[in-house]
Amino acid sequence: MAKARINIPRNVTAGDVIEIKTLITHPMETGFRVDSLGVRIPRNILTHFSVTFADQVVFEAELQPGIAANPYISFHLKAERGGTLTFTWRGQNDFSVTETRELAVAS
Amino acid sequence: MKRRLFLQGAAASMLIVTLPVRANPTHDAKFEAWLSGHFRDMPRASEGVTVDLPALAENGNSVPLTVSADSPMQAQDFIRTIDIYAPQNPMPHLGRFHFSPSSGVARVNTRIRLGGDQTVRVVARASTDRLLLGGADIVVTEAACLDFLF
Repeated sequence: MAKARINIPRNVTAGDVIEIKTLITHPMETGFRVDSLGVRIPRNILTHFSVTFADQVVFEAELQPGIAANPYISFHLKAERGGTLTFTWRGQNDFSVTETRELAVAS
Repeated sequence: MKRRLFLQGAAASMLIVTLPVRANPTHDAKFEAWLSGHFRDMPRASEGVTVDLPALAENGNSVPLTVSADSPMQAQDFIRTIDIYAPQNPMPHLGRFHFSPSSGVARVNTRIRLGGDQTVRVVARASTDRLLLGGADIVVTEAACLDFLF
């Protein structure tokens, strides 16, 4: 099973722009490689990553085979208030992983 | 005096060592076709995008890339998307990142695959339908995939 790692800064004050780092284990097989017998390895990539906060999409990424294996993505968010962040990765072969993290914001 | 001249000359010759990424008209044409295909005739500016990419990668399998675009990131004017384009790759469009005013800043950091020496292009689209373009040259000693199927 794919393992997702998410780093959210602690000690956030309202109005701060914070960096959120994410990484998920996934081969991101390009479809251009062949195995030892010369047989083409079928493409198997993550195609979509999205982050929602308070029912609003705050960050989204459309991924192609040109993104390295075990996709690492870090992005920024203006933290106005605390709440739950939902991270979703979707990909080929019905790949889907959803993780939630609490964002604590001091006023 | 001779010694000073020698030192000056040595310093100057070290500065002359530049990166061997040459302008590639095929890549430029490919990028131009992709750009006008996706964004048609939106006004463009070749500024406001910062691309942080190493000048040299020993291996193209995982190259760190940070991209940011200048924008107030307010409801009336923010960066909507950032696209990454690597013309030397078999699939040049590497990905698209979507932002919103709640991003605070239009910046993304990821790791990409590169199939050889090239100028990696970045296109940031503002909510006002203005394009900000940027790029960075990179030398890739060993391309990401040596067994491409054509």
